[in-house]
Amino acid sequence: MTSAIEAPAGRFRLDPRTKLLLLVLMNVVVYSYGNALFIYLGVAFGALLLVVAGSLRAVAMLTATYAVLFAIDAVIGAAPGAVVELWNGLSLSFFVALPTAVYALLLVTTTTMSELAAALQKLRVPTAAMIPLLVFVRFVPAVAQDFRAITTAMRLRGATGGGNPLRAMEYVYVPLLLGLVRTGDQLTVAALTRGLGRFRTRTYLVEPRFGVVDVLAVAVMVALLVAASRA
Amino acid sequence: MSFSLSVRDLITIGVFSAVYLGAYVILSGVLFTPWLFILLLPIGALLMAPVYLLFIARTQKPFAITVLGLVAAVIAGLLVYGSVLIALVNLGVAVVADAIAFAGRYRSLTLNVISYVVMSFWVLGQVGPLWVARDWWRELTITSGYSADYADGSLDLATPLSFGLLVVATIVAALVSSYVARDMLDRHFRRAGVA
Amino acid sequence: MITLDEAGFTFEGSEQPALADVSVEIAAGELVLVCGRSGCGKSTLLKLLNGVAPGFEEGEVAGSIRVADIDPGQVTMQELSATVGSVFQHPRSQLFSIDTVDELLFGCGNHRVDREVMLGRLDETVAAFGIEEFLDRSTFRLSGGEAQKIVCASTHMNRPSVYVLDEPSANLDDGAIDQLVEVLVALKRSGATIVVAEHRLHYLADLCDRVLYLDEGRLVAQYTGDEFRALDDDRRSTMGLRATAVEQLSADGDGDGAGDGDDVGDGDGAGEGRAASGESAPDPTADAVTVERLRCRRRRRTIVDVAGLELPKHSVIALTGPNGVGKSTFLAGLSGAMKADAVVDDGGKLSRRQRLRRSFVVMQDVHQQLFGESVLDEVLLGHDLDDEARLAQADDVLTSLGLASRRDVHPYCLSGGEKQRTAVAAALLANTRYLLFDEPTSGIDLDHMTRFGRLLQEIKGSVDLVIVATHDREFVRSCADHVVELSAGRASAPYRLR
Repeated sequence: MTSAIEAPAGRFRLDPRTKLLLLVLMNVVVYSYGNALFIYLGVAFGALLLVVAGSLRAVAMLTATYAVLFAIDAVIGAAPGAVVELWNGLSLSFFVALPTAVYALLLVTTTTMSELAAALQKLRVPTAAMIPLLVFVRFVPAVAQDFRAITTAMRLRGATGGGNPLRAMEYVYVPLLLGLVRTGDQLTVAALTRGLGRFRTRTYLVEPRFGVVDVLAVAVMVALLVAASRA
Repeated sequence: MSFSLSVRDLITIGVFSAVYLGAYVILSGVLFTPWLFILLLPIGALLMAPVYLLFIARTQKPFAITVLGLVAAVIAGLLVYGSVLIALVNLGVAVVADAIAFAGRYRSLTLNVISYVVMSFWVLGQVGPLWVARDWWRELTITSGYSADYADGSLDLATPLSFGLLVVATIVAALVSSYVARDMLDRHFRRAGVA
Repeated sequence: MITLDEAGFTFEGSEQPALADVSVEIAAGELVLVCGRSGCGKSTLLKLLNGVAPGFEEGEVAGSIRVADIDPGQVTMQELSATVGSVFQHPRSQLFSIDTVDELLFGCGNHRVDREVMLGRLDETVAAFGIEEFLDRSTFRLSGGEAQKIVCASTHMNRPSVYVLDEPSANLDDGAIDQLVEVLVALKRSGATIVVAEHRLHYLADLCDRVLYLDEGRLVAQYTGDEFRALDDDRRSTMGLRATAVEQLSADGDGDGAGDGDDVGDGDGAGEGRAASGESAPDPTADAVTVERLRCRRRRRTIVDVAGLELPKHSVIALTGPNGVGKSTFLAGLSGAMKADAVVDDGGKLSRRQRLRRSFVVMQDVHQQLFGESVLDEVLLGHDLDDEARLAQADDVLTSLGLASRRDVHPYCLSGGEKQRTAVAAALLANTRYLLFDEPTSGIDLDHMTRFGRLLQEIKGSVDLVIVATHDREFVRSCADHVVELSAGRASAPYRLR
């Protein structure tokens, strides 16, 4: 049980604000200077931070994606022109999106919502502005679950709209949105009866604090940025 | 009309953004290639009017749409694209959409529909660079290991004409969707007492 | 601790008060059970105590209310929540966070409790509720019972002096209710005042100090715990209250089955039932649907693995077992909603498509399967509204299910029971042969339960198979003909209940 409470104080834990800053800086590296060498250096550094943070699954996912991309890239030269074209189109998005996705992964997989909220509060973001964001994160999986249940129900009842896509859209939306209105209200009552919105700010168990690792991480990233701008 | 968003409104915004934005995230995953990606605009516009119009009916307060746009900007602009500029485009579109709906005090169907049409362009931040930032796009494509031919080829398609077509397609899709949504509001959400 | 003086409440847009003239004193440390039929006003009474009415649901308050020296009308819901803690019916929709520790700290953060105090409370609460194992887990990974426990614990973190629980057991199975009882005992021991509104009384009967009985918005009777426990069954049922004690099922089924010398299975307990039925296999020509094999996998785990199960036709079959044992999956696999390795014989082997066409599953969240703009539209879904014969048939079915007056209402506005009956009506009109119910009895009172049981008895003749997946033993005892017990994905042979 102690892990949830004490882990955030661990020595190699980056402050969420640092992770946000790293994400922005990496974007500048990718989108402003677009130098392949520095982009891959940035990716490697991000992967290192993920490893240090213990998010090994994310690293594995990332490595696997790159491996597949490069492997296909290597063999596809022999394929007919049209296939190469198609592949180029497909893979471009990945090559562009992945470098920044590394830092988004770092933020998302190694930060709990309350840590992030505490960090945002330090950046003077009021609780009111954070509520929609927190609810968003909480509801995305719920919406997906409801959506699956509803499409199953449609199949069971043979209510597929008889080939009319607008009808089918209605059959999805009506139970989905009505259900969300209901659960949204229930969540509101549960939140109000536990005091949400009583004060402008909340208290958090974990106080985000900058440490040596934060300084080091930002320094590496800035160095990368400067080098990329000179190259 | 109250100007401050209550906890209830803020939770409503969160819930609806999970559907609205969630759908866009899934769609952009499906359309994740440079040229199919621009279809995000019309396809998104075609699907989301029921969500958007019910959302307005549930909140009916200034800034609700803006905050929805803020969530979109933070998630889709900052986190997914990591770009402040794109996030600002996302947010800016939402602010305009909010102002339009506000002009009808969130009760005028016509203005709400226009607001929806405008809002459908929020992903312009993600889609637009192909037209707006041509040099940047070209350089990015080439440094990512593609031939200059390929980059120029895709830019050749990014003409004012194709942009115009995209805009028209999006507006038409948004209007069709609004038509369906109006019907759904009348026959379902109003009768169910939630709109 | 709580003083109500001629308190009442009228919801906005309603002429009739939902609650009127309630005067009662509740002392500190008491556990008070509020009961009565659906719509008797017990929820409204609780909403007055925790400020949900008029804080969230608007309306007119009458009389005077004091809770721990606070007038709930004079403070915001949020301020009140530091003193009055609330737990509601649906465990999942009360969770605000995606991990459990955040959820536990949610209230404390809102009330700006200091970090050190928060930590101290967290240790205490975790110990008091025995929830170490749930910490650091995603709230999406919690079962209903676990989620409800976390919600109670999260409320406890605010250290309120009064707890208000509105049907906390409605969505829980026996195991989870045992956990809820532990929670209530712990809260009571800590000296808290507790007010619980419930339909399911068996788990509270031994616990409560006092019982308030409401009828049509008024407080019509008060009992001490002992008086209430002494009420006989007849008196209790005329009050529309569910049982205060529920006997174990299997023992009962065992005795009955053996007594009648029944032909379907010989009524051995769950474990051996399967083996036993293999030997004394029922006559193959008997009217039954045979599930020769049904194997369902989810995320590479086998959830259901059933073989040689004879499901008697024209009988109400209860499919029981604790939550998470695979009841829903069994229904999904049998009906063809989910892909499964299945061999089902009903006068010939049935393909998945055939099973899909023959089946109708009334889902636990029944609102997820209602698409129509009115009850009539719902039951005729996809059919021509101008078809006179069909329309007449629909009206007949709606009348027989007591829905005639609701035919033009939007399904969303129906009560839970009416929604269920609407789904049943749709099933009957779609010529369904296998009518399957997934947990249909969450949070219903005695009247509705008996009525639902009667409904099943009436329709079992017109469809081939009626299966009700439920963890509600009380319901099984009162309404089912046969019982199939599911444990670890395997099914017992059906044994006869009466």
